[in-house]
Amino acid sequence: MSGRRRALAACLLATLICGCGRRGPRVEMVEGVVVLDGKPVEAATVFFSPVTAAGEATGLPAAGRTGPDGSFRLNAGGGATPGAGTAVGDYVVTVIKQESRPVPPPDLNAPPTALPEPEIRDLLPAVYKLATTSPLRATVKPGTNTYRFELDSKPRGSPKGDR
Amino acid sequence: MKRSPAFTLVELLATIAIIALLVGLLLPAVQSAREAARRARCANNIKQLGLAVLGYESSNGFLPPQGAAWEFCSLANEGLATLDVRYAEVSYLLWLMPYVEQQAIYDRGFAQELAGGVLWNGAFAEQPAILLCGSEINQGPGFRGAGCTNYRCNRGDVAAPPGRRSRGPFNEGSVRDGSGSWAPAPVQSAHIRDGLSSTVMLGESMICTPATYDTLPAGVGKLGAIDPSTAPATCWALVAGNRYSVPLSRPDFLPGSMWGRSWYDTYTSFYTNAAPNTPRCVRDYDWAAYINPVSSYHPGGAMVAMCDGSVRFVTNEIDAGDPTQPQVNNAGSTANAWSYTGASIRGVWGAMGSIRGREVVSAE
Repeated sequence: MSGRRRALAACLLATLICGCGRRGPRVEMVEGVVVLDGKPVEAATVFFSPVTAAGEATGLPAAGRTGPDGSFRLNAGGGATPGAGTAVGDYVVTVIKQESRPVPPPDLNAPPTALPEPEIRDLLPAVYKLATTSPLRATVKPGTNTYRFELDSKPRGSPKGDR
Repeated sequence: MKRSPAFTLVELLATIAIIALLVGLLLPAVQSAREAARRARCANNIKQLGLAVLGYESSNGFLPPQGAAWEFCSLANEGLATLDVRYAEVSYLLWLMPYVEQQAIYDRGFAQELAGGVLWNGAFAEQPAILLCGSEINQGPGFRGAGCTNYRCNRGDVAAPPGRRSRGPFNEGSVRDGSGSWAPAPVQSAHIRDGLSSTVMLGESMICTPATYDTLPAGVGKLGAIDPSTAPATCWALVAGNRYSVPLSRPDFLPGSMWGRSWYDTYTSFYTNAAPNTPRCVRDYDWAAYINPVSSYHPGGAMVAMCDGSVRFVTNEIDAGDPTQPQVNNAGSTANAWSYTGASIRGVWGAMGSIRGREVVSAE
């Protein structure tokens, strides 16, 4: 009697557990701070781009946005939980902060033309913008990873005057 | 003790449990069969629209213009000109209406535009069934009562501002001059050098949830600075990690309330610069969406129509390059990124999106 009941309970439990499989890649928590000349940078986007080593890509591309204190947490794509970080691997880190100036509304008395694009301005040195020029590197390991990225408004070896 | 001629409680419970187990096994199968049926219908819609584009191309020699504008001189003289009328940016879908047996909507729509009527009522409040996918949860009505659409045209693997040549089969914002010719000129099938069967023409996209855009506080979920070079992963950084964080597979909860919510209008295109079902983000003052992938409620991916009229299912896992990299032009700078020519930096998906990237895409 109790054996039958136990078997029944086991069946139900097994059914429940079967429905609870979680998909998505395994990620490690990645957080950090971005500072420019020692001051925290707000509303910058931090990108982790996987480094392809010997033709084999490790890691997941990920991005994070900094808050008022310059801190960020990474979100990886590919079905990973948002805000949970990214996969173990080696990364090039790029940081971008931009602002745009909206264009004035079109003159209705002129013939129709394509609307002009607003002007986009970089607020951080351009070396940090592309993976090919960024000096920032990171290695994500199992567990919580904390980084501090110190940007310099006059980076060494910077290609001609950045804003 | 005399046994009563009936089932015991335990026997009854066991029977019920077994029945529940069987139903539990059956229900997902029924649900997926229903989804498969909706998907089949959806595939039929996008196929018909793809054939309609090819029909238009046969008659006119070029693919329909997207978000095209032209001048209404008479209205300007009568002082009736408004932004909506002067820049009547109609979608490629309006030109296709005669090819999907909706001549009446086409006639009424253009008559209404020429008369300077508001664009979201009359013919534009009509909801042609072919423009909706059964799996969509926001079935309309759309922006100010307009009809909605799930089917959008491909503007290539590099985001391009309106009025610029795109890398896909559709250019946004062509303007018709006095001589009746369009600039930039709509694409002809001869221009699709990567091959008709390996270039994406149309794709599915979810309809934005109404009001998500307006209810977000400033700076959250919207991109103030977004230009054609913006890396697709910028959007991931923005939508998660705050209280509006959403699963990445549900771009419908992201801002961009015009997208898909008016089938006649210019918000009916996508880019192949980001993988299917990744978030889309818009600029906060004009709804420009340069991170604007295909998306659907079908599990695992979205459907696309190729330029030869065939339909394919593209999975979320397709190689879409490194989304953390901004688009650069041929000189390696992010300025005027839309002017890039050459092989796509967005992997197989980007190669499928460009019409003359000269990439090799194996047709599996």
